[in-house]
Parts: sequence; structure tokens; C-alpha cells
Amino acid sequence: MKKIVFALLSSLLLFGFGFSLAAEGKGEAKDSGQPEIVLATADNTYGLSTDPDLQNEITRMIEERTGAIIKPIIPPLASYKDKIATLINSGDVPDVFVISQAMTAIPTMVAREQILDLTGFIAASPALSSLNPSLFQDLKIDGKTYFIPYNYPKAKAIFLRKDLMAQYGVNLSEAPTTEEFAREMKKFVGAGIVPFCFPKWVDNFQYFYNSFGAWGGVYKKDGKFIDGFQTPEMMQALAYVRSLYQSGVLNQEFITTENSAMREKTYTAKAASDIDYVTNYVNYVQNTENARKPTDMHLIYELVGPAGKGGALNEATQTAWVVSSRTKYPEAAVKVIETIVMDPQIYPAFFGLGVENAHYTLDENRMIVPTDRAANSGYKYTLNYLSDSFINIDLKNLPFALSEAMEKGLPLQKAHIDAIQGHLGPNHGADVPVGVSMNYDRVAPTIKSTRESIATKIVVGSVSVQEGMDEYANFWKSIGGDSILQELNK
Amino acid sequence: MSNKNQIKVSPGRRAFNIFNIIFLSLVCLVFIVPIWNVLITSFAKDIDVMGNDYLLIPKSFTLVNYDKVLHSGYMNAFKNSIFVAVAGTFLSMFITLPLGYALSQKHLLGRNIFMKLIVLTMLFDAGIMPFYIVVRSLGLINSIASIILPVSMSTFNLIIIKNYMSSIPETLLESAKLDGCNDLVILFRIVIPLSVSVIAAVTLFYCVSYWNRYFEVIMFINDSRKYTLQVVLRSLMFESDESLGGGNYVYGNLKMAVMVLGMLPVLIIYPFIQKHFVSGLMVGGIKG
Amino acid sequence: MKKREKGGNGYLIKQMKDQRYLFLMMLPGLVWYILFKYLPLMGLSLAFTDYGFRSRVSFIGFENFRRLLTSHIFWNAFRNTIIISIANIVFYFPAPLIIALLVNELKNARVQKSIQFLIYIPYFFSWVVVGSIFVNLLSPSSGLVNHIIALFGGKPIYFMADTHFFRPVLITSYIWRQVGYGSVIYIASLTTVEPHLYEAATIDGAGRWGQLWHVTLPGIRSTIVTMLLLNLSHVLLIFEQVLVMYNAAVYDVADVLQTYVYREGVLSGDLGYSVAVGMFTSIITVILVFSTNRISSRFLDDPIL
Repeated sequence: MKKIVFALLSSLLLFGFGFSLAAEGKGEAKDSGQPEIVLATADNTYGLSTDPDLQNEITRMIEERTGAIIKPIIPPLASYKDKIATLINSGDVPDVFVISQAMTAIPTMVAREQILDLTGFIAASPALSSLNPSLFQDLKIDGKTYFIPYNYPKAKAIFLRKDLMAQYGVNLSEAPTTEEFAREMKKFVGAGIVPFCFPKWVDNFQYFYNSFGAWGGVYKKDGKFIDGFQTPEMMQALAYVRSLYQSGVLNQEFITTENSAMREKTYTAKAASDIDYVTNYVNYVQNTENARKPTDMHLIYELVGPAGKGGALNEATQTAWVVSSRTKYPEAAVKVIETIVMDPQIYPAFFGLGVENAHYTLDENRMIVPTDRAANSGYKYTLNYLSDSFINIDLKNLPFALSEAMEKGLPLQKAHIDAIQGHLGPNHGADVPVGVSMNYDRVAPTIKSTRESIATKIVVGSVSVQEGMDEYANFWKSIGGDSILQELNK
Repeated sequence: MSNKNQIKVSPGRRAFNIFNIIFLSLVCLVFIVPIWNVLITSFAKDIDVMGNDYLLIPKSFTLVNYDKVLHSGYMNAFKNSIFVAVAGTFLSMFITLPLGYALSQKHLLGRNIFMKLIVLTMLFDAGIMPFYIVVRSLGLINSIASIILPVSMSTFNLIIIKNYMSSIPETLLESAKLDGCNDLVILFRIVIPLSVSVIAAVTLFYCVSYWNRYFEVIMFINDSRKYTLQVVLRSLMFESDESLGGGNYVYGNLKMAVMVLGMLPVLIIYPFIQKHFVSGLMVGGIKG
Repeated sequence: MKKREKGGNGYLIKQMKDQRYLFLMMLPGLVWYILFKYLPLMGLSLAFTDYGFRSRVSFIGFENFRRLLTSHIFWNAFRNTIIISIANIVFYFPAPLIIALLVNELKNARVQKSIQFLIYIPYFFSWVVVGSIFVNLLSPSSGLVNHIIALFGGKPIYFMADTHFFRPVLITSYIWRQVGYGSVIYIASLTTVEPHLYEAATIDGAGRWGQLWHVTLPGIRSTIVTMLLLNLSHVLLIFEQVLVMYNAAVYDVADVLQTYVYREGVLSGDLGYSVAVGMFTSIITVILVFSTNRISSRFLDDPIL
């Protein structure tokens, strides 16, 4: 009998031990009166460090500025989406959180009543209402705004190494024709370097089909929904990329090349060009120097197609802040976002630099030096905010000094960002309303992957353009594509 | 082990030995080359890993990458990981061994039903969301316990244990029962000593699974102070998703250093566990 | 079960009393199963709802199942899963056993242990890392494998983007990462084969093969069957590996059930549907596992499950 009691007790003890560990996490006293805001963002923000103490510095700053109690959830970037999805589905929605791929995510979340209409809050805030209305334009739903962006829309251009251009006599303007591009880039072929390559290619394919006036996916054309993939324009675009592939301009291994690999190849002059965000211009300047192959980059904003069309890859609103529809403190939640997005101290700390004396110190030349603690927790500061945030920053009058490359590069980057605005292609990413056609909402991800698969086959030449299109047409029929379009057009 | 009893070597045996050695050498080569690549990459300087070329001959040697990883953020998470692995493995063995033993007893009432019910849980899964809700309603969210308790049993390991124990000759247990021992005593005095090798293997499995646990940590823990090593390492390892605005950029050498450091602690215990793989011979000893 | 027939209620009560220690020992484990396995399994009911897909949850009966059974994409994913699973069972399942047996034949214990240790290491590489290792090794321009092919006068092959080679690459990388881990169990169970049986077999004139067939394999047959069953139980769930290794060029042959669910269930927030697909997969696995168990129990003293 004794042994039974002993065994029972010990098993109870072990479970008890587990639950007592659980209880330990919850004992904190709550301060009444102050709103409590659960804030979720990935760990490439929030001071850009994984060190909990350093993250706490940011929390303190926001709390001081807003008077709210901040409970941050900062999972690694790679798992951020999974975490948010679980939180939302289980009902533990954070009051304030960042979402990526906003163009598709926001309409979905609105249809599911997961996020709050912010139109009124934005109008009531002097800071937020001063933002350029065009920032919200692409993503208005029934005239309402459900998000707050935190940087200017991102655009991609082709980056070419100027040194290699000179070496091989490649001559291209900032907006050459598709024909010129194919002809000039050919000069790199056979030189033992990668002439051009684009990773994640279906996303970047937009850059090329813009030149033909095509759009990959269902979108609204002249007030009617059509499938952009099954158009003569798209066939032309595919044939063009296919010809780039066949002539060796587009590297054979584009299918498995990662973004990072491609960038490194370009930095080290193993590749002549890459496609990337204009806001990464200074990174190229800096990293080509690190790789001991310093050069300036030439940017091609758009390729002009045969019909005179073209446009830079326009990602419109990619990431944005939203507020949970279940939050108890909507005003405080919007105030927190406003502070993070507009406050001249918080924004740099949150997205770019961290906190002085915690994340970094300034040396005698007033240059930024990461503290040991920060450097050893994944921290690497970025100065992107100087060119893509909404805060007006005087580059001549910064609280710290810039490296020589930055000093030269940043104004150029700013100029490139301004220049590409005039070349932006369209973005129909949020054209299709969510909740109108249940069938479309369900198969949309598969339509995209099929598009990707067939476009790849066409480009690498395992099927002809026509065969590929036929295959797609069959797929389209199998999912009832035409009736989906009818549902949308009703 | 068997060949120690062999005295004469026939030509066929010799041919087999030669084939065996060549084959295993090839196998080893297939394993060594990529592992070697990981190692030398982790010791290389930034400039030598840029461009992602396949490196087999080291171009440079530096400890900078390891130095970067081995610091503050690392140590806190390292402590959490050690705690989870040690406490978790103990808890797991504590509930797995008795259950495995009970299920290995052929006369256990309802054994078949228990077994089938348990196996079904291995085959059906309703996904993370209901699991999350259960863990939450037990009040475990954001506690270290949430990464131990909900995963403290593996049906896979349970079946291995149960099966091994059911191969222990019943006569051994019967005689102990006649001597008046109850099942608890039999488990600790007879069955466990006879199952050292399989217990060693399962301990290793549990330990490794706790060590490598990642998904549950992300799901159940909100406070970054309670993150385990795998989470911190993964943040260092994966470069920024484009769509979330870029940010810190990490070269391959640092990634590999992160990986080597992440697996080193559990890799070190392997030889100690391996040592026990021979003690199972006791079964033969007793029976003979 | 049979014993119950022997007596009435009194017998049953006596049995239960005799086995009180056994029940006590099961208690913590069973409580755990109820809490962390059976409670979450109530979530299976989501399969009959549109949870997550609409703002209000509604019961939709078998609609999710109708949808999956009529979807071409689902059936393509199903076909791929079955092909990859069969290849997995045929090529991966025996690999750890063969390695364990061959290593066991080596004379030097130190070499034995070093090899076991070496092949165990890749288990700690995440699939992302394994993926990038294979992309590098198999690159048509700079990969080691294609250098070797070129050495023998062959043409470089773009393995990762070739529909004929992608599945073999999946299986090979799976074996590479998992074989050391799988062989641990065999190594542990090989130590339990009694040496005197080998002596007896040698005296009876058995050669290497004879010993293998009549002593080693029978000695570990329950382990082999266990491993087969455990492999079968998760073979249809292949996911992370495919997700990090596949690309647009091989979607046709590489889209498996779990990647399909990830796309149409998880990414689009349609939880009910992903649970339905999961249930479908589970039912097939149940049939697979239990029929294998039934067949195998003929060769064993005690069924595995």
C-alpha cells in the first residue's frame, strides 16, 4: 500500500511541478487604468535584436511615449506568419500586429471580421491624416481603411554592375526597350559570369509582364474581372522571358537560386545583375566594397515593351500594421501604431537602430558602433529608414555620422526612389474582393502555384508557349474558372 | 559482436569483408563531404563564403563566427534548452516506462483496447489550433511547462519500449511474482536492468526531440526570455523575409557556426548513450 | 481478452485487483493521453465546418470531403504522395537495417562507433540546411555530382528542376538525413541477439547468410516490424522536406498532400478543410497500419500494436 501511495504522490508531484512552472508565468500584478496592448511583430524589427533585455528597452520607450502597457510577442521572422495564424484562429488575437503580403491578407482579414476599420481613427489623428492619401489608395475596401503602412511602397528595379557594363561594353538606359535589353545583355553570355538571374521568379516576373501590359492572375480590366494569365499579352511576355533563357541571358539555375545567393553573386562580380528593391541600393554599394569588388550600380527602372508599355515592379503595400477587431482599447492601439510609425525617435529605434547606449554607442567620430551585447544577438543596424520612412529626416543633420559610402550612397538612393515613382507599374493584387466567390477564395493559392509551374515549363522550354497555355486552360476548366469569373462579375 | 566467435575465415567471408569495407567507406564519404563543408564554412571569413560557392578546401580560418554566436542572447536560451531537455527527458521516461511495461504484459486487462486507442492518437491529428486551445485552457501558455508537458510522451517511443519489454521471457517475471514482488518492483529490479540498450536509445530520442523542439516553443511561448536555443538560433539563421521589410543580413559562415553550436551539446551525449548499446547482452547472460 | 471467458464478474474483479499496480503505472500515461491527445482530437469536428474561412462558423456537413474528393489537384497530390511513400518504404525503410547490419560486421569496435556517430550527425541539420546542401551538391554548373558526371563524359543534369530526378533526390536526401537516426534502434536491438545462438548456428554449419537468415533477422524481427509500422504511420505526412526543396519546375511531381493542405487550407485560413484532408490521410494510414499489423502478427509471438 505504501508503494502505491508513493507512486501516486510522485506522479502527482511531477505533474504539479509542471503546472507550478505554468503558474509562475502569470503572477504579475496588473496596473489598473492603463490600457494593456499586446503587440506582435517579427524579430527583424523591435530594435533588430533577439536579446530580451534589449527588446525591453524598446518596450520601455513605447510605454513612456504612449502611456500604455506593452506586451510584446516577437517570434523569429521565419515563424511569424505561423504564430500570427494560430493566435488569430484560436481567438488570442494581439491588439496590434504587423502583417506581410498585405495586398492579399488584408481583404481576407476584413472579410473574416478580424481587423478593425481605422478610417475614423486615422482622420482623428493629425499625424496619420497628414500621410499622403495615395498610400492607402491601393488597399481601400468599400472606401474604408483597415491598415497603417509604415514605409513607402516598395519597388524593384534591375541592378547592373557598372564596372562589368563598362568592361563588356554594355550600354543600357534607365528605361531601355525589351529588345535593347536582350541584345545588350547578351554581351555577358559566355564570359564566365551570370548575366542575369531572378530568384523567386514568379513574384519578380511582374517586372517583365508589365512591359507587355499583362497581369498574372485574376484582375479587373475595364471594369470586368478577367484571368490575366490567359491573354495574348501574357503569351508575349512568356515568349520574351523564354527567349532570354534560351539566349543564356537568364541563368539556367534561376529556378533554385535564392535571393541571398543571387545578391552575393552580384556583390562578388560573379553575376552582372540582379533584380532587387530600390531601397537596397546602399546595400549594394556597401557590400560590393566588402567583397573587394567595389562598383556603382546602374538601375533599370523599367523595360519598355513593343507596344510602349512597361513599369517597375510595384509591390504597393507589402507590410502594414493592423488592429484586432476584438481589442478593448482601440484608441490606445492606434496611438501605439502612430507612435511607432511617426515618432522621430521611436521609428528609428524600432525599425533601424535600436536604442543608443543599449544597442549601439557612438565612437569619437560619432559613428555607430554596436554594443557587444547587441552584436551578439543578431543585431545589425540598418539605415533604410532614412530613405523610406514617413518621417522627414534631414540627412545633413543626423545625430550620428555616416560612413563615406553611406554619405555618398544615401542621397543617390533617395534620388533613385524618387525617380522610380515615375516608372511604377500597376498593382492589381487587391482587385478581387474576398467573400464574393467562395470558390475563388479557396482555389486562389492553387491558381497561383499552377501559374508558376506552367510559366516555368514554358520558360525552360519543356513545353511550347501554346502547349503550356493549353495545359493551363485545362486546369482552368477543372476548377470551374469561368464560373468563378461569372461569380465575381455579378 | 557476432564475429568474435568466428575463428576461421573462409574466402567467401573475406570477399564479403572487402566488399563491406569498400561499401561503408563510400557511405562515410557521402556523409563526410557535406559535413566537412559545413564545418569549414563555419570557420571561414565572410569574404570567402560570399557568392555561395561550394567550398571543400578551406581558404581561411577564423573563430569570429563562433565568437559572435556564443554570447548573451545565446546563454539565456541555452539554459532554457538544457532545462527543457533534462526535465523533459526525465518526465518523459517517468511516464513512458511504466506505461510501456504495463502494456507489454500480455495478461493486462483491456490491453488490446488501450493499445489501439493509443495508436489511434498517433495517426489522427486535428492540427495545431485545438492543441493550442487545450494547452491554453490548462493555463500553460507562456510557461516553460508548455514546451514540456504537452509533448512529454511519444507514442513512437512508447511502442518501441513496450515491444522490447514484451520480448523479455515471461518466466523471469513469473518467478519474481512468486517471490512476492509486485509489478513496480519487477519493473525497477528486473525489466529496466534488462532493457538498458533500448532505454538508452529512447532516452536519446527524447532528449534530441526536446532539444530540437521549435514549433511548440513558437506557438506556446510569447515572452522572448523563455525562448529556447533553437528559436534564437533560427532567428540568426534565416535571413529576412523580403516581404517583411528586409533587415539583418547573414552570411553562410555564421549560419553554419550557428548550426554547429546548436547541435554540439546533444551530439556530445551520443557516445555516452552509445556505450549502453552493448549492455543489453545481459539478457543472454541471465537466460543462459 | 480470452481470459474473461474463463470466469464471471468475480474473476474479473480478482484480475483487476491483481493488476492494480499495472493500472497505477498506466495512470500518468493515460492521463497524459486524455489531456494532450484526446482533448485536442475533438478538433476533428472542425472538418465538418468552415472554421476560419468565414467570420461566422457554420456546420457544412460533408461539404469539405466532397470538395476534396472532386478536386483534381487533391488527387494529383494524393498520387504523388503515394508514389513517394512507396519509394520511401522500399528504399528508406531497409536502409538503417542494412547499415546497422553491415557496421555490425566490422571487427573494430571503435570504427563501428565512429561510423554510427558520423551517420547520425545529419539528423541535426534542419531540412532547410539539407535542402541547400543538396542544391549545392547537385547544381549543374558548380555541383560536385555534376563535376563527377562530367569527368565520366556525361552531360550535367539539373537534378532539382528535373521532373524525372526530383523524387529520387527527395528519397536520397531523406535517407541521408534520417538513416543514422533510424539505425540507432537496430544497433540497440542487435545487441540483444544471444551470442550462443551464433555459436550453435556455426556448429550446425551455417555460413554468413545462414546466420543472418536463421539467427540475426529472426532475433530482431519484432524490431523490424515495429519500425515498418512506425514508418507507415507517418509516411503519408511528408511535408517540411518537400516544402523547402521543391520549386515551380517540379510542382507536378512533388506536390504532396501536406503541401496541398498547406496551400489551400493553412495559407488561405480554411482550417476546416485542412482538418478534413488530414482526416482523410489518417483514415488511409489507419487502414495501412492496422492491416500490416494484422499480417505481421502471424510471424510474431505478440502483435506489435
